[in-house]
Amino acid sequence: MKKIPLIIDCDPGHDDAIALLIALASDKFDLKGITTVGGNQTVEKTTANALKILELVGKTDVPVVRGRSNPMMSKLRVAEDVHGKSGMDGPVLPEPSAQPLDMNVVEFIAEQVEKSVDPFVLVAVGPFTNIGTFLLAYPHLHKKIEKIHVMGGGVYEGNRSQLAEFNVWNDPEAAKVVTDSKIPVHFFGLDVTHKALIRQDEFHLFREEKGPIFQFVADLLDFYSICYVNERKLEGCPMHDSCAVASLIDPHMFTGHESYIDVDIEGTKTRGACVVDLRAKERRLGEDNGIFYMNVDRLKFLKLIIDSCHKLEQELKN
Amino acid sequence: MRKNILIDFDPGIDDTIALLMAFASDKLNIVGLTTVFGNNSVEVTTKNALILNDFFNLSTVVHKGASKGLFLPNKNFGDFHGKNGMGNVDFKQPVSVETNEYAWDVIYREAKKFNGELTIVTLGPLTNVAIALFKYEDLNQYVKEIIMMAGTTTIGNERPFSEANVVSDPHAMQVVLNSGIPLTMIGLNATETTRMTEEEHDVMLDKKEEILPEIRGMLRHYKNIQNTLGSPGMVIHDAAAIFAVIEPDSAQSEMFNVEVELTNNAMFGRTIVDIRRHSKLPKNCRVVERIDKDRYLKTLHETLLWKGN
Repeated sequence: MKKIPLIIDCDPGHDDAIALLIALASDKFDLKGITTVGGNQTVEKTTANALKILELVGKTDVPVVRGRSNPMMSKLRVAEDVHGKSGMDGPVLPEPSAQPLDMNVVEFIAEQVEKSVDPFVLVAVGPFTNIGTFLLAYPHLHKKIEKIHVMGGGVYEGNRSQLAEFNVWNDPEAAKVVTDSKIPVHFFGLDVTHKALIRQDEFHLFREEKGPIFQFVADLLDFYSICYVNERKLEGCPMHDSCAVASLIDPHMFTGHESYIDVDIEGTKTRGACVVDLRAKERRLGEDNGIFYMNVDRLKFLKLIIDSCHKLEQELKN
Repeated sequence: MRKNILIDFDPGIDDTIALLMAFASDKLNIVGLTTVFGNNSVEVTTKNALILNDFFNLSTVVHKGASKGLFLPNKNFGDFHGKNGMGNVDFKQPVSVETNEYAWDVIYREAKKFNGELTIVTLGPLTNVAIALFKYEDLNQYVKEIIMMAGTTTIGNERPFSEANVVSDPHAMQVVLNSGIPLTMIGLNATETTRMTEEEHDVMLDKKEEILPEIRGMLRHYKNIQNTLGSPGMVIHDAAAIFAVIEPDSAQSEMFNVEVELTNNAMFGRTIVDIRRHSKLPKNCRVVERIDKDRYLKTLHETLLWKGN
C-alpha cells in the first residue's frame, strides 16, 4: 500500500508526544518532517521536546524544523498549568544532541508538498500559526494538500474559555485561514478528545511494561493527570492530539458530521470558538469544508496506542 | 543619494500617477514593484503594473501578491477606477510578464539585500507586507521604514471613518502596526490637504496639450467619479503620498499610537489615532497631517509632462 506523505505540526506537549509515537510506529506514513510551533510552551521548548522524543525512539532521521514563536495577531500564551515548565514535564529525558534543521518552517513545508507526487496530508495539533502562514504564503500549493487533520476547537465546549479550545484560542486568525482555505479539514475537537481517554485505572498497562517507551508514556500520564484528573475532574487523560493521527490509521475509529466549519475571530465572548454548522444542509452558512468528529471507539483507540508502543520497543531492540 | 524604495500597490489611477512621480524623480531608486488586490483583483492590478512598465519603458520588475484580505472573503471590486482599474482607458496588452516570485518573498529578499536601507511604500491594502512579516519573523530587522497610504485621522471614504486600503484588510494593517518597524501613515486627512480646486485642475489638465491622452483620460475618469460622490475638484491620494516620500520635509507629521478596529461593525477598519495628550500608549506610527500643496502641485505638473524613459 502507498504510504501517506505527511508532516506533523505540533507543540509537544504530553498528548503531542503520544501522537508522535503513534505516527512514528505506523508503517502507513511517509513522515517527511515534524514542524514545531509555540503553543503548550515556547517554540524553543517544544522543539527540544520533539528532538528528545525522536532520540528516545531512535528515529533521528526524521527532520525537525522550528516554526513560528508567536500567533499572527498576538503574543503566545503557553499552557504551563497543563504541561509544566518544560512543556513535557514528568519524564526525564536527556537533552537532545541533534539540532533542528536550519530552515524557514513554511519553506520546508512548501518544499515537501511541492516535491510530493502523491496528495499530501498535514496534521496540525498545535496553534495553527505555521500552517496558516504556509497557506497564505503558498496559494498555488493548496491543491496539492488532500486534507488537514487538526486537533482543535469544539462544538459545545472549550477549555480556555467557555467555547474556545487552546489551539484555536491562541491563534484564531490562523485557524480561520485553515477553514477558509477550502481544503478539507478534519477537526478533532474537545467533544471527541475528551472521550479519547486513557483512564487512570489503565495507567498500569503502561507502567507494568518495562521498556523505556512504555515508561515514558507512564511518566507522561502521571504528570498529565495532575491537571486532567485532579483539577479538571476527568476519569483520565484525554489524548487530544493522538486523535488527529489515529484517525489516519483507522478512519472507522471515529465518527462525526460533515459540516461547514468556520472560526469566530471577533466575538467578545466567542473569539476563538468554532462555528460548526450542524443544521440541515439547506440552512448552512456555507459549503461543507470538513468533518467535525464527535465520537471515538475508545478501546480500539487505546489498543492502537499500546500496540504502537510495543512496536517502537521492538524496533529499539532490533 | 537616492532613497531605495519598493512600491507595493494596486493600480489604480492614483497609483499610476504615483508610480510616474516616483520614476520621474531623481531622488528615488525603485528596486521593484509588488502588486496586491484592492482597487481591483490582483490579476487586473498586476496586468496594469505590467502595462505601465511597458508604456513608460520603466524597465522594472513586477511581482504578484495577495488576492484577498488575510482573514476576509473575496472582495467585490467597485467601479471607482473603471472596469479595468485604469479609468476605462485602453492600453495595449502588456508584453512584459510578472516574475514567478511572490510579493512577500521579494519584500524579504530586497530588505535583506539592502540591510536596513530599504523603504517600503504601500499604496494598497497591507496584505503582502503582513504575509512577509508572518513568514519571516526577522523581517523587521531589515526594513528601514514603511510609508503607507492608508487610514485616516478624520473621515473615511469606504466607511464613515474607514479608508479603503485599511477596510480591505484591517488585520494586515494591524500586523504592520505591531511590527516594530518605523512607520509613517499618510491617510486621507493628509492627502486631502492636496485637493485641487476646479480651477487648479483646469489650469493643470485642460490647457496642457503636452499631457499624454491616456493620462488625461484616466484623470478625467478619476475626477468625475470623485465629483459624482460629492467631492469637488480632485485629489490624487497615492500621488500625494509618493510626493511625501520624495520630499519628506514637505509633510508635517507627529508620532501617535495607531490601532485598527478589527470587529466587523460600522467602525471596521477605522485607524484609531490616539491624539489624547495624556495618552500612555506606545507611539508606534508617524502620522502625516499636512502636505505642502504648492510644492506638491509643482511636482505633479512635472510628472504629468513626463513621457517615460
